[in-house]
Amino acid sequence: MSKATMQPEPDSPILEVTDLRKLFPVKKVRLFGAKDRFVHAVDGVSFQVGHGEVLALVGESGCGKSTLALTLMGLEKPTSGDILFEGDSLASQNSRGLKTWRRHIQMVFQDPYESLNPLMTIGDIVAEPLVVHGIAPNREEREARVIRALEDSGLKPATEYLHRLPHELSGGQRQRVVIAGALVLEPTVLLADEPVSMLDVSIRAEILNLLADLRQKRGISILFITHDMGTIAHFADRIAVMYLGRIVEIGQTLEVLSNPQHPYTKALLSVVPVPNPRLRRERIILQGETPNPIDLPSGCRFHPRCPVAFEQCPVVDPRLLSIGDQDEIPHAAACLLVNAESQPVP
Amino acid sequence: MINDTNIPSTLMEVNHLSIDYVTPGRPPAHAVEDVTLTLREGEVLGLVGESGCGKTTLMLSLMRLLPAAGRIVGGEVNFMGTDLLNLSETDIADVRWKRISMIFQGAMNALNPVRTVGDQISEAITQHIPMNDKTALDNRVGELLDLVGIAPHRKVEYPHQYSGGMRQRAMIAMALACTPQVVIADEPTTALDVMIQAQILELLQTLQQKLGLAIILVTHDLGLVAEMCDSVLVMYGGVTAEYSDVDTIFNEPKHPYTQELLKAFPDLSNPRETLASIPGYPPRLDALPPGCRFAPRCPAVFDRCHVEQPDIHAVTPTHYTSCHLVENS
Repeated sequence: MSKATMQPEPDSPILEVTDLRKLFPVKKVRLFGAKDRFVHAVDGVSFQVGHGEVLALVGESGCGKSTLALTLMGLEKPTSGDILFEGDSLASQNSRGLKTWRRHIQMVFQDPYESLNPLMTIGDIVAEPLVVHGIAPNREEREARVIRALEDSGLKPATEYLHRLPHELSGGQRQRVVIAGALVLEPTVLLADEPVSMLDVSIRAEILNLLADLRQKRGISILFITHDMGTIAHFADRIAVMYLGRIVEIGQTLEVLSNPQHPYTKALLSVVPVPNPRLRRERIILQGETPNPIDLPSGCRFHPRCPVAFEQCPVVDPRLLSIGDQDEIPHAAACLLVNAESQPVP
Repeated sequence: MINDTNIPSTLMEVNHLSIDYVTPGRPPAHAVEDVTLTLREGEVLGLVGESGCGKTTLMLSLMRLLPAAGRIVGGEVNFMGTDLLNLSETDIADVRWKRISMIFQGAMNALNPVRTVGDQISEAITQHIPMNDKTALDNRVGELLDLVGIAPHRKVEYPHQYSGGMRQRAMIAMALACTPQVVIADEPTTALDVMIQAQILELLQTLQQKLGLAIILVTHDLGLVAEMCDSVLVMYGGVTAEYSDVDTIFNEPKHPYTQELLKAFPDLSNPRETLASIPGYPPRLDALPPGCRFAPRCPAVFDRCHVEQPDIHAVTPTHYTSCHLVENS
């Protein structure tokens, strides 16, 4: 990738995902008559992330959000479809190109208790990505970068942390180290997979505010993966709701929160606990769990759990179509009730 | 006003309970200090606090299940007229599970992977109530599974055949096996997806109403507390920060810690630009600050807070808090 020389257009997306599919084959169990079967982890997903934008990807376990993240990192090869980073295609990268790709797109993992090597000092942990990528081979320069990443992650003064071990830090501090490890490569996109779900409430806000700051100061784009609508309402620009490998609704955060269109989005929103006992309200509790992504329901994938499904739903697979005013940032949903004109996707 | 006759009777009274953890050669860690609370029949009490604030220790002491290093150094736990702390091992065994049971944290992984779910629930019953009639025992297991929304025929399955939400339901069935009056639920929905979390909460609410259970919900999720609880005890660094009914805690909190905690919690009904965070970290229980334990992080701190630990004051007869500011006003 030789993106450094090419100037992106100001309004062009930094990340563009087009009809991405990632299927995992399942082993055949019978000797005769068995068909090839697949887990449809990500099944036709398209979206864009703008420069400095925060896009939240919301969905339950098994909706494919983590597979999507791994594919964006170039750690899983897409079955079909493509990802463009600053206009450059993932499909055309060789192994060297992939390494550069991952320098620009970094990941922050969920569990700060498990993702730090307990035997390495904080300084060494944060410096490791530099060593792996062969950046700043000179010791002073490397240390300067590590210190900058730690301080940008809110661990000040960084020199106090360099020689400490992970067990000496609290959960919030560890998550800051994880973020510093991602920042040290000066990425332009951060994929944050449930970065606060393991932390106490009083510390969650700190980490969320830190991510919001990074976006503001460094213009980093953030793809925030979570199952909790409450966490992202405050700082995501847009929300994409996923169900069984597909995006079922996407739009501006406030628009989706105040005017949800898809029944799944409505249900997800209704079960977010509201910290006010005077506002106890009707929850839409979906029964059962997300179906197995091997044997997908016919028609609309959500119909077996949908509280408002009608005769057409098991037959017609609704497309993600935009609703409302076309001049604004699009708000789209894949539901027959919202898009009556929607046709079966071949 | 509530009519006197409508007030349910008191089930449990915890008075001035203090618990230390002792490690040879080190000063004791004061995990719980001077905690007082009341639990009435059918009440849902929320116990809120950050990791390491002593909430799990407090709950384990109610069942006398403290780890070996835990010592109850003062106070009493009065349960229906008897002090649980004075009971012999045989007598407490009669209270455990039959009167007070517990849904443990990380319960999804607490099931034995090589035994069927039905077997494990039977064991929970026979450990406490001898039952020789195999059919009656089988029926009881089926009944319990049905109660928590699992088809009884699935009792022959192993935990790995259950989803996370179903395993949690099975754990609840186990906690209900001996028809207790009090169920302690320690972070019952942590690590579950939002929708499954809502299902489990709905189940707990239904069971609470159907069986008239009193529930102590241990959590750090204020949203759950607002949705489920009648009263709330907020703990910080082993002591009671604030204790009152749920409406007072959320709408008229007096302790700065409660106020900050509420500001740090995201609220979809009122999206703000940034969430407030509480700077700093909870104190280590073996190195507590000399004055108020919240003083190092408190936005309203003043001189006295650093030298003197505040007592618990009654703001109203049903609202208690330990803060020098409240005493002064």
